[in-house]
Amino acid sequence: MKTLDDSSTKDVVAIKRTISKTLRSRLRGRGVTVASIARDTGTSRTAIRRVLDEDNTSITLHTMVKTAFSLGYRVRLILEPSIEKIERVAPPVEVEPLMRKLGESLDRLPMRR
Amino acid sequence: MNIIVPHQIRKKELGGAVAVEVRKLFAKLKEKPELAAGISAPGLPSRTTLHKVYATTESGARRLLFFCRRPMPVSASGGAPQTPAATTDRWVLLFYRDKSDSVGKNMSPKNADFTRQLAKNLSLAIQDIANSTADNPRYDLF
Repeated sequence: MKTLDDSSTKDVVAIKRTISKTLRSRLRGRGVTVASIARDTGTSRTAIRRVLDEDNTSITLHTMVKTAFSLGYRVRLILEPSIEKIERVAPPVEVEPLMRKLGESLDRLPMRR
Repeated sequence: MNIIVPHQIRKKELGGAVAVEVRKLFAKLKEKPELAAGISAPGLPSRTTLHKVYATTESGARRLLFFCRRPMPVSASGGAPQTPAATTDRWVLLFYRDKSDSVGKNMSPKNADFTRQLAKNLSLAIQDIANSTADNPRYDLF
C-alpha cells in the first residue's frame, strides 16, 4: 500500500472526496435514502455507504458509476499527462559548438506572439 | 517560458504534427517552470542548459529533451541588451522519445546513439531557427 506522500495516492483521495461530497449533497437534496439507492442499483447498503464515505477509496468503479447514475450523474474520467521530473543533461563535448550556434540563433530570433 | 518546436524536429520526432497529448504536456511544463529551477550547467555555453523531462502520457512513458536558452541580462547601466529579441526562457524541443527508445533510455554522453542523434537534431534546429523570418517562421511556438 502506498503512503499518503505518494502523489498518485493524494490524487485518489482528492478524487474520492469530490465524488463522495457531491453525491452526498445530491442525496440530501433529493431526500433519497441509502436503502433506495441500493435497491435501484441492485447493490448493498454497505457498498453505497462506501461510495458516500469520502475516506474510503476501496470501491469498484462499477458501484461508483451506478450510484452516481441513480442520483442523476454521469461519471467521466479524463486522463492528463504528467511530468515527474526535469533534470539537467550533460552535453557530449562534440556537440558544444552546435549548442553555441543554436544559442546564438535563438538570441537573434525575434519575439513572436 | 516559450517552447519552440522547429519544423524539422516536429517532422522527425513528432511524426509531422504536434499531437494533443504533446500540447497538453507543453502546457503542463509551462505551468511548472520551477521544476527546472536550480539546474545549473557548468561547462555549457553561458545561459544554456539541456533539460531532460520525464513524462507520462496516455500513450506511455516519454522522455523529452529541451535546449534551454535564458534571456540576455539587461546591463546595470540600464542600456538595452545587444539584441532585443528574447525576454523569457526559450526551450527548443530536440527529442520526444519513448522511455525504452535507444535514445530515450539513456540521454547521456555515454550513449553513442544519443550523441549522434543529438548532433543531427541540433543541426536541424539551427537550420530552422536561423532561416526563420517574421513572415515565415520555421517553427511552432507554444
